[in-house]
Formats: sequence, C-alpha cells, structure tokens
Amino acid sequence: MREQLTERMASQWHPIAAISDLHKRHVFQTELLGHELAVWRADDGYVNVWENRCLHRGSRLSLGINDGAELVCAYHGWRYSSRTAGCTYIPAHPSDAPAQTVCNRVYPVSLKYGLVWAALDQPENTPDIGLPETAEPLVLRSLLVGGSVEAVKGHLEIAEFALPPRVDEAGAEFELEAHPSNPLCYLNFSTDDSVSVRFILQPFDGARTVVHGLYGPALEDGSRLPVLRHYNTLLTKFREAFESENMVLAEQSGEGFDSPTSVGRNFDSVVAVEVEAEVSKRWEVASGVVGMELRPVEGEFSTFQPGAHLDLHLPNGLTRQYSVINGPGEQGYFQIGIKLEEESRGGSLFLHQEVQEGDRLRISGPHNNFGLRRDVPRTVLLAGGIGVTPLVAMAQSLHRSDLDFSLDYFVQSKEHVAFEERLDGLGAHLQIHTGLSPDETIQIVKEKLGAYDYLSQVYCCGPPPMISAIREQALILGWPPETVHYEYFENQTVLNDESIFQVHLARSGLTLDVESGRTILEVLRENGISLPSSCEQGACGTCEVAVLDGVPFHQDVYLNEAEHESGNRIMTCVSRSHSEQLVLDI
Amino acid sequence: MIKLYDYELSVNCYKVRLLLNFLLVPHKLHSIDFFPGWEHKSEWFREINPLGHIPVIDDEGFLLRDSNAILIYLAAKYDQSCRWYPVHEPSRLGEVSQWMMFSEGTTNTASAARLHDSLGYEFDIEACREGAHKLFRVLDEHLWFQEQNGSSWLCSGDDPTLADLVIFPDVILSEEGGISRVGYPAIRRWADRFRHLPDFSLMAGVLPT
Repeated sequence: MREQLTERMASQWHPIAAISDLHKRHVFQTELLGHELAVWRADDGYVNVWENRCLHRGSRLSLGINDGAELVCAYHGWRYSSRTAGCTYIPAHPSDAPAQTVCNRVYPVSLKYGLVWAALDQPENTPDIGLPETAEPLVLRSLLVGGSVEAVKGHLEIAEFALPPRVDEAGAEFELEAHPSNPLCYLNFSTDDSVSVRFILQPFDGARTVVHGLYGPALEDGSRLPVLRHYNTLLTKFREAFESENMVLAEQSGEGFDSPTSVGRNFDSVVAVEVEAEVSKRWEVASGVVGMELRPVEGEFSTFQPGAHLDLHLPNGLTRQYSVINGPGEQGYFQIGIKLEEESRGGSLFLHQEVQEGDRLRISGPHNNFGLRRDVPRTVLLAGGIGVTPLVAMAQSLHRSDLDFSLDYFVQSKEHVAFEERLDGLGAHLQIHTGLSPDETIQIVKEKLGAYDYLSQVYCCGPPPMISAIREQALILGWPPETVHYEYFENQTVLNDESIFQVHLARSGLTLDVESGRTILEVLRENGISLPSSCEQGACGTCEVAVLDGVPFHQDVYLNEAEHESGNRIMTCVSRSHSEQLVLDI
Repeated sequence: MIKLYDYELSVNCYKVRLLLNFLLVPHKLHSIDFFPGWEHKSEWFREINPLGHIPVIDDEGFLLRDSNAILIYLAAKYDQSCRWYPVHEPSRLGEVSQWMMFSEGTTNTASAARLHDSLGYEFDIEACREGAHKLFRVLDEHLWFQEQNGSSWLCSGDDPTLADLVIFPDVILSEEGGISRVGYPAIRRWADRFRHLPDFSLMAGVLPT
C-alpha cells in the first residue's frame, strides 16, 4: 500500500516552495518524499531543483553559495552550473576541466500559481489543482507539520476552516473536500463561489508534511495581510491540534519512505558523441564574423567550462572547432563566433554562406583543453582578432567570481570588435586596441604582463605569430611555462609523416606498425582502440596520450617546449616517433 | 584598548566579537582555555568574574560581564548612529529588548543542545531541541510576516539591531546541536541577509553565504 502510494507520488507534481521563497542568491532547502533538495534561482530567473548533496563529500549544497550562475559547495568549493548541474570547477585540480560525468541529479520543475512544483520522475502533464492556467492566487504561508502525508490528509478531511470573516458573512462551506484528480489537494469554497482556497500537501518525508495554501482570487495590496494572518492562525491551530494528538513535533522525522538510493550522478545528460543541434539564432557579430546560437534537437547539451570548444561536423565532410562564448550558468545552448577565413577551405565559407537559422548541424563536445584557473589573484587575458572567443567566456567567468583580471583585445579596427554586448559588461577590465602594428602590440603585451608575480596566470589566443610572440615575451619576463596558457586555432607546422615505427600499447598488449603516410591515431582506430579527437592537426589537445617509453617526435602546437622535452605525452594525430618503438599508456 | 576575555567557540563571545567588528572598535582578544582547561573557573578568572562566565570586557579598567550587558554598553558608547540600540526611539527600543529577552530562550535551548553535542555538557538534549523548535517556529512566523511587510529584520525599521545580532549565533550554529533549520525558510533567508551585512565576521562553524 505504502509502496504503491510512494510510486504514484513519485511521478506527480508536488509544491515544494513558494516562488517568492526563492530570494535572490539564496539556496532554499526542503525535502520531497525523503529526497533532500536544494532549490535556487539563477540571476537569469531559471529555477534549479537539485539533489541537496555535493558529489565530492556529500555536504549539503543548501549550505553553499548561490553566485547567480553557479552553486558553490561551502566545503571545498566545487562549482555546479545552473540548469545542467554539471561540475564546472574543482579547486583542488585548478587546471583541469572536471569530467562530464560529474553532474548532480536535477529534478523536473514547473512554476505555476506562485508555487515551485517538483517531481522525482518526469510527470506526463502539468500541475493540476483545478485552477485556470493563468490564475495568480495569493500564496499563503506554508507550514511543516510533524506527520506523514496520510495522517495529515486524514485530519484535513475533518478540519473546519472558516473563510476570513469579511469574505463570507453569509456563512461558508467550512469543510474541505478533496480535489477529484489530485488527492493531495483540498478545496474550500465560499457559498457564492467567489472565493476558493486550496491546501496542497507536500510529502516531505515519511513523518513530515508541508501544507501549502492558495487563496483566490488575487487581492489588492492592502487587503492581503489580514487574509494571510487569518490562514496562518488557522493552520497553526491545525498543526498544534494535530501534533498534540499525534505526540510529535515536526522535527521527529524518520522512517516511512525509502531513503533515496542514488547519489545523483546523472549520466543521461552526458553527450558522448555527435548530436544534432539546431541553429536557433544567427547574427552579424562584427565585420566578417557571424554569431550562431545552437540548441539541442533532443535532450540537453552537456556542461561546458570557460575555454571549451565544440566540433562542428559539416555536411561537406569537414570538421571545424569553435570556442563557446557563453558566460557561467548559461547552459542549454551554445553561442559561437565564426570568422570567414580568406583562404577558407570550405569550413567557415560553408557556415557563412549556407547555414541559416533553423538549419541543423552535427556537433560534438564540448572539449576543454584550455582550462581556466579560478583561484588566482591576477589573470591576464590577451586576445587577437577572433581569438577573443574562448577569452570572452573566461572573462565573464572571472568577472562573476570577482577575481581580478584584465582582457586586452587587439583588433584591426572598431568594426572588427566581436561580441560587444558581452564585453560591455566587463567595465574597466576590458581594453580594446585597434589598428596596432605587431611591434606596438608586443609593447602593450609587455606592459600588461610585467614581471611575473606569484600565482599570476596568462591566457592568450589569436593568430599563431601573436601567440608565439606573447609566449616569448612571457619567458623573457620570467613567467614560468606552466603559467602561460595558449590555444592555437591551427597548426602551421609543415608536417612530416615519412617515418616508420611501432607503437606498443602497454595496457592492451598490442604492438602496431605505423607506416609512412599514416598517423598513430588512424592506426589505433583501425585496430579498435577508440580515442577522442577533435582538430586532428595538433592544436587542440584532445587526442593526447601518455608516453611510457621511447622518444616522441613532436609536431603539435598544443604542448609547450618543456612538455615536448619531457617526452611523456604525445598528440597522436600528428606526432610520431624518433625511436623504433613508442610505448603508450593505453 | 578594549580587552575581551574570549573563547572562539562560545556563542556569547561571538555576539560581542560581531558587534566590535561591525562598529570597527579596536580591541584585543584574551583567549580563555574554556575547553578542556576550564580556565573560566580558575581562581584568577573568578577575580575578574565571580560567576566564572565569559565573555567579560575590560574597557580601560571598566569591567563588564554578560553578553547582553556588554552589547548594550558597547552600542551606547561606540555606535554614534544609534542604529544597533535605538536609545532615542522608545517603541523600537522596546522591541529590541523584547527580542533580547527572547534570545535567553534560544541560548538556553539551541545553544545548550550544541554544548551537549560538542562539549559533552549534561543537559536534557531532547528538551533542549524541542524547546528550540518551539522558539524557531515563533521566530520563523515573525520573520515571514516581517518580509510580507517589506521588513528584513526582527524589529521595525530599515536597519538590523542588537535583536538580530543576539539571536543570529544561536540560530546559525543550531545544526551543531542537531536542530535542523529545514522547516524555517524565513529564518534561513534572514540568516543570509545578516551574513551579507558589511563588516560581518565569521566564526568556526559559521559559513559565508
């Protein structure tokens, strides 16, 4: 009996809070059928209902900080993005993007009649308590009562709730009646039907129930308070009578419903391979740059972190990488900027000329090999032209977290400034430099970098010669290589694929021949070893593998000189071997 | 300079530290080995406070004990704006006093439960918790209707007062005594607002928000 009821209730909508309970930057705490919930509204208005548990050590997220876009666990600072509940940052691993599988459990949510409704399993319909869709009733003060939902139901059925004196002097129906299609909703009407009151029960856990109340029609400002007081007094009396009879105070909770079995890792939302996306918006961002907003055709996109990029798999067979420019908590769609390359081989040209709003594209990712540290006192962001895209996402993230940073954006002319609407919000952190020569540019870069300070980090993205010049300057100014982060959009190295060598795979025990004209990645895939890849030209870092023995012949631009010299990592899409054999950790 | 005989984990000492920091009054802390040393019961400390309680302040030779008394003294002397203890507004002063009396109750229930659980005090823990919940219900109801009236704090007016300051520590540390605040949404929001005040100070167990 209990089990059936619980099962039925799991896929029903239940009120869990008043919308007005969700104050700005607050985390509301409640339970539904024994599941602890953290409920919070992002600054963009989105209401998140999550399992109240950090995936790290299980601390309650309701103790954490709502920063308006992300929820930060109070204990060790893990950050989770609004909407997806995916982890965006783990302070103990500041340079690494968290795995896509680190994703909290999210519950279905609906906002209706001034209440936040949630369910354990997705219900088929919308919350129904017999009110017109557009009704905006007065939300009464809800009370937590120390009794199971069945016990409270039993007492409500025999309760007599008078309407407020002035409303119905002629006398009203004092008795409550259950709603025909929702057994957890009780109705009370005035004799002339002009006023209706609804009490809806939230099954909190096996021994506690929250009584929510709605009063309709809506009232003028001045006449609300007496009604709120009236029902608060009635419900308080109801609770006192109920609890004294049942000898409990609300706190004595306990058994009844089974404890939740899952610690909410939500693998469903993880996008592993290619998915279909629709171009929901397309607009001119700057001279020669088109902005595109992509939305999933089905399901949800996975969580991105600042610096992440997508692969666009075009119908003409080409694959191109574009950085996500979204700010923190901006999930559910991705925005990218596409510059028309003068020497386009069919990637940007196709996107510019052929793709319109409403068209569909296949995408994969997001991948993040350009991770942003969010724990340092000073971050220098240096952008050249369209290289600004990953840095736009980073700047918005740092700005939201109140971390000190500067973004210097070098462009040909004012007309080439992209994503101004996002940049405008950065205030004094942003400086735009137009029409500078390479020498003038590097002069400003020098000033911005200055001598290296402990914990400072620099991130740069732009044309390859600019990145190389910045890296050189940073080195001269004493910046350690691990503090200089960069992302090349392309690898301009002239690739040599002549050598012949073997790769031995330490884990699977296979030994494979790599002939001239073939890449390690291709050979691995032909032999059934799946390895993620993205740009396949040695720029993005996705196909990296650890090297256990042998001397790699590096041809990528992802690893820095020190990393190349250490010889313990390799980009399998372009790099080869100087030694006869390479032993790889796969 | 004011000297505060202090113990980091004491709610009553925290109340005094909160106000000293809000008012930016220079002070130094004399840490008492309350647990496990029971230094507040030592012979030398009983000469300062025969009751053997902390906090005690020493303001250039003027000794004062009992957190509520200390707070009133500090507010009257150092708060030029009379914001925390509105001595010139009789009705608000009455409200502040009413809630300061109420805080005796929260300290003797919620904070007593915390002493039982964390420092092994022999109290009737069930009675402490039940008593705290009864008071929290009153507090939550009051704060909920304050919000409906557009007011953020326990007393009327736009600013927090000593009423909020003395009840806040008992409330925010209640979970250390096994008293959950899940059923008190208005209390939880008020505790957020209090922690967002400029010059608010933390103590062990109080998390920023």
